[in-house]
This record gives sequence, C-alpha cells and structure tokens, in this order.
Amino acid sequence: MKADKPVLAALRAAVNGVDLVRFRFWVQLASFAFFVYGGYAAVNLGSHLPIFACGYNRVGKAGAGVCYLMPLQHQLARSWTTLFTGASLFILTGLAIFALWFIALNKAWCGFVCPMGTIQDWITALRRFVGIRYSVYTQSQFGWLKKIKYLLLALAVLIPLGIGDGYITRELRAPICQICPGRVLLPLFSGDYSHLSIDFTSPTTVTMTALGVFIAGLFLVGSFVKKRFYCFFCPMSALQFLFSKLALLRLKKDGAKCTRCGDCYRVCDMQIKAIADDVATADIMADDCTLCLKCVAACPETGALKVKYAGLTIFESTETGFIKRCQRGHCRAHASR
Amino acid sequence: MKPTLFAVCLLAALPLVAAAQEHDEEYKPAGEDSRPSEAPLEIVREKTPGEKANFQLQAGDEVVFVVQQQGVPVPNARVRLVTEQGWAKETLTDAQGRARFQLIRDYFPSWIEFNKRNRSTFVVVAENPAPGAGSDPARPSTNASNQATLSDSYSPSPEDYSSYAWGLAIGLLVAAFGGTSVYLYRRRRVKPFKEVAFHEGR
Amino acid sequence: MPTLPAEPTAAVAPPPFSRSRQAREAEDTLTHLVNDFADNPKSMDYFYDLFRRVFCQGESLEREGVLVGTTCIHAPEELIYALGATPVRLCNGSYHYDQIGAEFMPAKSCPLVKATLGLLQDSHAVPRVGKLDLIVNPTTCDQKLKSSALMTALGHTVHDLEVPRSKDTEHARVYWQRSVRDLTERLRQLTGRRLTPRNLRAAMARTSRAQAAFRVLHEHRRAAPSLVLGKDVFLVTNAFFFDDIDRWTAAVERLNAELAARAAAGFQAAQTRAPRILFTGSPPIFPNLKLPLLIEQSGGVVVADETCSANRMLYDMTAVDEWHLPDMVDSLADKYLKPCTCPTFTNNADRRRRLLDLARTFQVDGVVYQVFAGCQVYEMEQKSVADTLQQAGFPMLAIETDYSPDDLSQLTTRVEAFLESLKARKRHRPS
Repeated sequence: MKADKPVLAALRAAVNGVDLVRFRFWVQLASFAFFVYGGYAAVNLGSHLPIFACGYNRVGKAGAGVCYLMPLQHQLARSWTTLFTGASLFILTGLAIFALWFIALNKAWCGFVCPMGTIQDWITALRRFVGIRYSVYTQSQFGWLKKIKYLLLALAVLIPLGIGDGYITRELRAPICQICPGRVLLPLFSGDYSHLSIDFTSPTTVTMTALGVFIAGLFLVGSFVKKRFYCFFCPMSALQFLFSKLALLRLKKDGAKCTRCGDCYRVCDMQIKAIADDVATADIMADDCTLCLKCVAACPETGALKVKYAGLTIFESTETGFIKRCQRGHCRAHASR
Repeated sequence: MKPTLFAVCLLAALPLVAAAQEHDEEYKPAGEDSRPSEAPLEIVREKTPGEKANFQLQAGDEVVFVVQQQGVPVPNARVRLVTEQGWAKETLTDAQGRARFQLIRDYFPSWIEFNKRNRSTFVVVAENPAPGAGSDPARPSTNASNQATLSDSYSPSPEDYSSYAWGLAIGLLVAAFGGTSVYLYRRRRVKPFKEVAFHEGR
Repeated sequence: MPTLPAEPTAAVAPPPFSRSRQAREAEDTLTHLVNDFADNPKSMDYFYDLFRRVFCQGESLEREGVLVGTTCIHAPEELIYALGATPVRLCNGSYHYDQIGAEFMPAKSCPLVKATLGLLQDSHAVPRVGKLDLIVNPTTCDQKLKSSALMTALGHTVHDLEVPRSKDTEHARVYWQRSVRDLTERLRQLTGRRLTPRNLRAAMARTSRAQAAFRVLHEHRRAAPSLVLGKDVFLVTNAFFFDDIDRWTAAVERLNAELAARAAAGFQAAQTRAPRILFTGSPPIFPNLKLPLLIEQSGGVVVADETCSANRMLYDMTAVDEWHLPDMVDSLADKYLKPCTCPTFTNNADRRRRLLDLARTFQVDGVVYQVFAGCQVYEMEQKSVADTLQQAGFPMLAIETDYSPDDLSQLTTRVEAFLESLKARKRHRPS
C-alpha cells in the first residue's frame, strides 16, 4: 500500500492540473454525438433523461434517448380522476427514474452532456474566435431573470394538468416542448427541418409554433452574446435543482481558504456571484450552476473548491494546478491570439 | 488545432444527416407465396415506396389503384373516383391495370374550423364487363359487368396549414433584430458619458 | 614662475552619497540583516548586493522609457508594463525622508506617507530611478489621498486612481472597473501606445511568473522548522518595488531552488523551538525593517505576513476567461479589488479570515500587529483582529511605532517578553 501513495499523489496532481477546457470540449463533443446520433447505433437510454436530448429528434430514430420533460408533460395531461389515482404511480416511477439518472451526475449533466448546452458553448467559441466581447447581466437583472425558469417549470406542470380536465385546449399539449428551442434546432442535426414551420391550423398552433421559432431565434442571438444564455431560463434546470440535495456529485467550498479574489466569478458562465462571495456555505452549488467546473479550475487557493463524488474528492482547486493552467493560458511569453 | 478538428467532426456529421433521409425501410412487395385472390373484380391501392404503417393519404397526393380480376390486372377497365363533396373523375386502366388519380383539395372551412386531421372520404368504383349472362340464371342478361368499390379517406395536405417559409422568416428576423439591438445598445453605451470601450483592431 | 594652487571654488564637491546619513541608515539595517544571522541563503546575495548598491551607494536604476510611480498596491502594474512603461513603487521606508516629509504633513501622521513625500521632494532621490513621468496615486487611505495635492505642488504629475471605499457592492466593483479603464486612457495619453490583447497578455505573463515564484516562496515558508527567515523574505518583496521584474523573478526562482535543496537536506534556518510569528499591519519597508529584524534577532521567526509590502502585494493571481481586452482589464480590476485585505475598506471580514487561514496553515504561535503612529485605519482594526485571533487561540502583540530608531530598546523588551510567553505556551501546550 505504501508504494501506492506516490502513484496516487501523482494521479491526484495530474487530475488537479488538467486542462479543463480541453477535457470539457471532448466530453461535450462525444456526448453530443452520442445523444443526437446514438439512435443510429440502436442506443436507446429511455425517456427519462435529465438533458435536452430532444424527443422530436426521432426521425430516422436518431436520438439516443428522450428529455424527461416531454413524457412528463404528456403524462400529466390526463383527467384528474385518472391522474390522482392509478396514473400517479406511473408518474412517480417516471420521476424516480429521472431522479436516479440525475443524481449520478448532478448538474454536470448540464455542463458536460446536454446537447443544447454544447451548442451554446460552440456558439460562444465562435464569438470568441470573431473577437466580440460578451454581455453580462447586472446583479439586479440576474436576480429577477433567474426566477423565470421556475415559472416555466410551473407552466410545464400546470398547463398539462389543465388540459387533462379540459380547461385548456389539447393543442397546448406539451407546451414547453412547443416553445423549446431544442425542438426547433436539434432535429436539424439529423436533417429534419419540419419543426421550423409554422402550423396555421388554429390561432393556438400559430402562436405556439411561432413562439417556438421566435425563441429559437432568440436562443441563437442570446447565446452568441451571453455565455450559456438559455441555461438561465431552462425549466429542466429548475426541475433538477429540486433533486440536487440527493446527488452524488457535489461542489463544495471551504470558506476559510477563500480569499474572495473573484477569479471563480470571472470565469463563471452563469455569473453566479455566490461562488466567490459566500464563504459561509459549504454546499455552494447554486440553482443556476451547470457544474462546468470552470470555477474550480480558476481558483488559485488549494482546497478552496472541491468536487466530490459520493464523498470522495475527485477534483479540487490547487495552486500548482492553477499556475499550470495559467502558464498554458497566459504565462507564455508569446500569446497565440 | 481545435477549430480544424471541430470542422472535421462537423463534416463527418453530414453523411449521418444524409443517411437519416434514407434510413426508413424500402417498400417490399408481397412475397410470391401469397395466395392468389379469387375475387371476380377488386381494386387494390398500390402502396407508395417507403410507406409506413400509419400512412394517411393527403389532398394533392397521386394515388394509384390496380384493378384485378382473380388476381390478374385488368386493362381498360373503367375506374371512377368520387369524393365526399361530389367531385368525380373517370379514367380507364392502362395495360398494367393501373388507374392514376390526383386527390383534389376540396376542404375549405373557415380558419377557426380548420382541422388538420379532417378526413374526407372518397369511393373508387371500377367496372369491367363480365363473361356469361349474369349472376341470376333465371333471368339471363345480354350484358353483364362486374363492379367493385373501394373507399378510403384523405386529410388536408400540410401545405395548407404549415408554412416552412414563415418559420424561417420569423427565426431569421428575430435573430437579425436581436443581433442589431444588442449591437446598437453596445454602441449607445459609449455615448452618454464617454465610457472607455475597447475596440480591438480599430 | 610657480603658480599658486587655484582658489577653491565656492561650490565644494558634495560628499559621495554613501557617506550621507540616509545611506548610513540603510547600511546599518543591511549590516544587521546580513551579519546578525548565520547561514544566509546564497541566493540572497543578489538581494543584499542590490540593496547595497541602490540604497547605500546610490547606484542609478534608470531605465529607458516612461517611468510611472505608484504609491499603493492597488495600481495595476500589468497595464503599465503593457504600454511599455515601467512601474516603480514609491512607498518609502527611510527615516531620513520621513523627517523631511514631516514638514509637509501634520505632526502625527503616517511615516510612510511622510517618507514618500520626502522622497518626492528630492530631485536626486534614492533609489535613483530617475524622473517620474507620472505618479499613480490610488485614493485609499485619507493621508495618501490628501498627499496627492502635495505631490502636485512638489512639481509632479499625479493621476488619482479612484478606489471605492467598499468592495462588497456591485456598484463599487463597477466604479473600480471604470477607474481602471480611465487609467488605461491616461496611460495611453502618456505613452502614446494603445493597449492590445497581445501586449497586455505579455505583461500579465511577466507578473504571473513573478506571482507564481512568490507563491512557491510562500509555500516554502510553511516548513517547520523554517527554511528561510522572514527578514530575507521582506527584503525580497521590498526589492520588487524597484527591481527589474524579470531579473527579480529569476532571482526568486533561484532562491526557491535553493530552499527546496535545503528542505531536501533537512536544513533549518531557525531553531525548532523558535516561536513562529505572523506579521501583520503597517508595511515594513527597507530600511525600516526594524520590527521584523527585532523579532528574529530575539529568536522568533516570521513565517508569514499579511502586509502590503509583501504578501498582499504578490499573493493574488488573476484568472481570465476570454483573452479579449474588456475581459482581461476587468479581470485585472477585480483581482486588485476583491481579495484586497487593506484596512481602508468598510469591513474587514476578509482580512480576519485571511489572518486566521494564514495562522492555521503556517502553524503560527503568535501574531505581531504593527501600527504606524498616525495610521487611523490600522489602529481601528486592531481590536477586531485581536478578538478574532485570540478567540482562535493565537496571542497577539500590538505595537505602535514609527520610523525613528528611538523606541528600539522599548520594543526589544516588549518583543522579547512576547516571544518568551509564546515559548512558555508551547512548552505547556500538548504538542
């Protein structure tokens, strides 16, 4: 066992000094290919996935699984007598399976796996390449904008319930799917352009399909100027946060080591200030957090931020890791860009 | 290095997209070991290639019917298609027993009442001279013919209610408008109190 | 016909600088620094030599290009380097200049500011960095803020870098970012050069390398028993004020290598039982290394510090997300403001937390809190810092002093008593 220690230490050092940007790029690319095209390899991970692996991306059976919000909305659109008796079991099992998927990776599903997240990161890379600076929200804007995702989650539950008992037209079935940019954009990757069309059957369908395309357009502009623009409003993020207490992957902060230098805040795509300023809380993962781990990579204080899986620290901020990444990033005398 | 690799991956994705278009199963006609039909006259709708189980005819579709007598296609049989609204078209089958019709668009309700799943029925009538003196030996006829009917339904074509052009237009408009707004907002920011802004390369 | 020797001219050549009172003060300190201790690291010779040449012999440090003086760690040096200028920290520790500067300032005021003013009125000031093209004076403490006008009166060009008094609010942060951007504009007018991602990135690379080297040194100080004495580290960081940054970094990297070799060889620079001290408060600046020297002459070791002439100046590192100018400059601004534990801000929660973290990580036995006579902000924070440290079990000695050598005997008694009490505590405490 003693011989293991230097090996373990070396492994630890290698992990803590990893080039996170490159690592994330490859994981995101692989996940994108898997979830958008995995169906061709006959992979089907079911319909309880905690990411936007769009269910409409099934033309030619392209997708490897379906985003949980779609079946959830369909399941809730039942008459209340069915819903609150027998069918509730169906829904609770579905929720349980979703929760099981979710707690494996916590919000890292958002930061590393979600195809829509990946698209946003690619758009951000494009913006960086072109040399346009990004936009930020002021703290007050941040405060009220972050509430929108809870509103959307509430609508995702309430509207199907209303449909079930006939209060709302069936045409509003799966309302979040109808307005989601994922429905419009993800099928494009397997050659399905049909979701770009406006359905003129009735005023409702016109509004909803127009809204869907409108939001897709906003998504493209928004994620061009703001990093991870859509993640801010994502109802899946809100749903996930409800289960985050059970998750195995956790982001922990040791406030005593924090100098509040704000390096983590500067790199955070979601502009979460609490990560830098809150030195009292240990469980520092906020509801907006996508667990992209950029903050851990940017922290120069050893042990201030830790990523733990089932209690075991797998990645932590280290001074040497920071300096190594910084040397790759900017301590080179000749800058590449 | 990263942008190049990324471009390569995107290019690699294109064949996948192409494959998606043709991924569905090809139409396979009935096998040789199916029993020959014994009907004196029947109409069979010829399936389109790549047709799935939930296929639904739509207005504007070309539909082909084969008229068969004991399983053998009948040429020059009179075939008539009559829609629910009363429109009718008559034609003769060709040498292979096929009669082609194009379903017309005849569903014109007001916008509120429009139902994209509306099914209008039509009936196809085929007639062919029959050998013999008729079905009743007690009352022989000079001319006997067989008549067969087939009914089916069709729905409005997506072109009537779905507009890809509109969708694209709205999407592009929003993107352009949004992009311009952000740009103008950023430019305006510089003016009021002469904030120091960095313009790279200028 | 023999000629009489020529009449001596009215103006007698002045004695060389090395024989001036000012130089002797520096030489005295340096002699104590070097000779009172055995086994100084070989790499420190570079620094001893540097100070000797600059402070005792008055050697010229003049460099080409624009020279920008700074009076506080808040001034972002990367911006100055990026535009091809050289920053020089003007904060001075000379008693000679302190006495001169006293003419400009009220009776009981910060000796550091007095000394800085004394330096600025001297046209052949030592260290001889040359004529300052601009002085960047951050508006941190009251005395520094008001000295700006005095500096202008002395004939210097001063740029007031507006620092917010709070660092907790969003508008304070934005205000500071705008101040920094204004500074870039001023520097652009001064140097005629424009900030580009390339030159700023190169400048940040230089300072990052220096900060990384300091971090390694900081880590070496953690060793118990100590590998290096605090007096040497203070000298090293004081050299950063005026030395060429790349040369300084190379020298520190050599020192780090030597300390690593020392660690491997099991060498110790101080006794095992020497009380480990955390030094905080008003910054000790050469030649006023009176108090740290005293602590180490009395048998203690300054293993960590929280002062703006050492740790606070070099510790924090910048992280940038996107290497475009807006993000780079704003990241720099944030790094200079957010983690700063200067007492000129509204609340000192960050300073107390930092002191506790340093005390615990460096296994410190006691804390020495230096306050310059006349420094309102450090004096006012004394109580809260003392309470926090004492609650955590770290005894604190608060010393009010200034640049004059008159109170040396009094301080010696107090420091020695404090160190004795720490040693006694260690003996009685279960290890």
